[in-house]
Amino acid sequence: MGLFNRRRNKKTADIVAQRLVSVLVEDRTGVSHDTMLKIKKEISDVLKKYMDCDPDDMAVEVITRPSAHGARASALVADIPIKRMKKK
Amino acid sequence: MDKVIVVTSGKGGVGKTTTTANLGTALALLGKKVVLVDTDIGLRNLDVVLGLENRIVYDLVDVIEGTCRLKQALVKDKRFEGVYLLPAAQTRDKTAVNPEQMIQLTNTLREEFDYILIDCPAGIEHGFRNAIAGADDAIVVTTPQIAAVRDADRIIGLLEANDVDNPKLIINRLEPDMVRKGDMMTIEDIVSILSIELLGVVPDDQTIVISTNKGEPAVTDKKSVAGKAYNNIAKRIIGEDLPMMDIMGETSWFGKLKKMFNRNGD
Repeated sequence: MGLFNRRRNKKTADIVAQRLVSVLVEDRTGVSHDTMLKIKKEISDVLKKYMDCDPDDMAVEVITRPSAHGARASALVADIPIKRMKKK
Repeated sequence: MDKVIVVTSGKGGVGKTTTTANLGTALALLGKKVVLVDTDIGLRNLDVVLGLENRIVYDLVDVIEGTCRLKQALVKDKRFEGVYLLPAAQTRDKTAVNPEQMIQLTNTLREEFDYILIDCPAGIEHGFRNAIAGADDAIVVTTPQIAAVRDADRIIGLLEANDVDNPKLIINRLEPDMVRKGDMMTIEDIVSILSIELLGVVPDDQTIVISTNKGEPAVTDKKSVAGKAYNNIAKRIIGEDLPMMDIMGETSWFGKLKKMFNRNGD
């Protein structure tokens, strides 16, 4: 690894943070990576009835945030770009 | 923070005992009367970190079984006014004590002390249940490693499930140089992943090894950066609104340079 191609290599801190986030989703919710993929696929199947969307652009993930009374709570967050809504 | 504070982590070796010893001594230096309770029955260590190992007569299990009075088991630190240790039993195991007994014990200690710091054993089993039973508040210690942060996350979940709400985070042994190189998670990474309040960051510091060798808490060493960090955390525990120590900027010439330009720009 030379001085010049260093920038191209991903920082190990980013790799570990990503791995940690993904392992914690499963720890916190008991939902496996495979199940998440399944959820994503089924959401996209439902949405297809109403709009055009690309499953590859969809982000479906579990986040943790403080709940109303302060304790942490998990939430499923979906970010799905709409290409075009289908006409009814 | 409230009176009875459990210091916990899930993973072993992240610095629970060192944190307990230093925060306890730092609180005493702020004029508080503090008792440090070692609940790691069978694997006691708070005594040696505090340098009080030769002064133990009775222990936690003796008190709970009624072999001695509470006062007889408390080891008073003669060097620092206001530091007391309630040592763990070394020849018994975690099942010698149950959570109800721990609640009773902490309630008795509440009458006598300003702060009761409970050093929790590693793991999530019986010893953990005992340690958190009487606690009002919790400090979760982690290091910037994936295994430690993962276990901290599990512990936070268990604390909340047991109504020890709003645990506070200490990130221990942060190495600013590695963070700068992108080879260690940042403070922001860890806080955002665990999503609990940050109580303080303790940089990796060789003076901790040296002070532990001598059986003297690092908070009494003016040259120790970790000691300074622990002193700051103690002030936050008693309610002072102290800004976070600038760990990342302190040693980097680039950071200093950046700051200099910023100051000129103000």
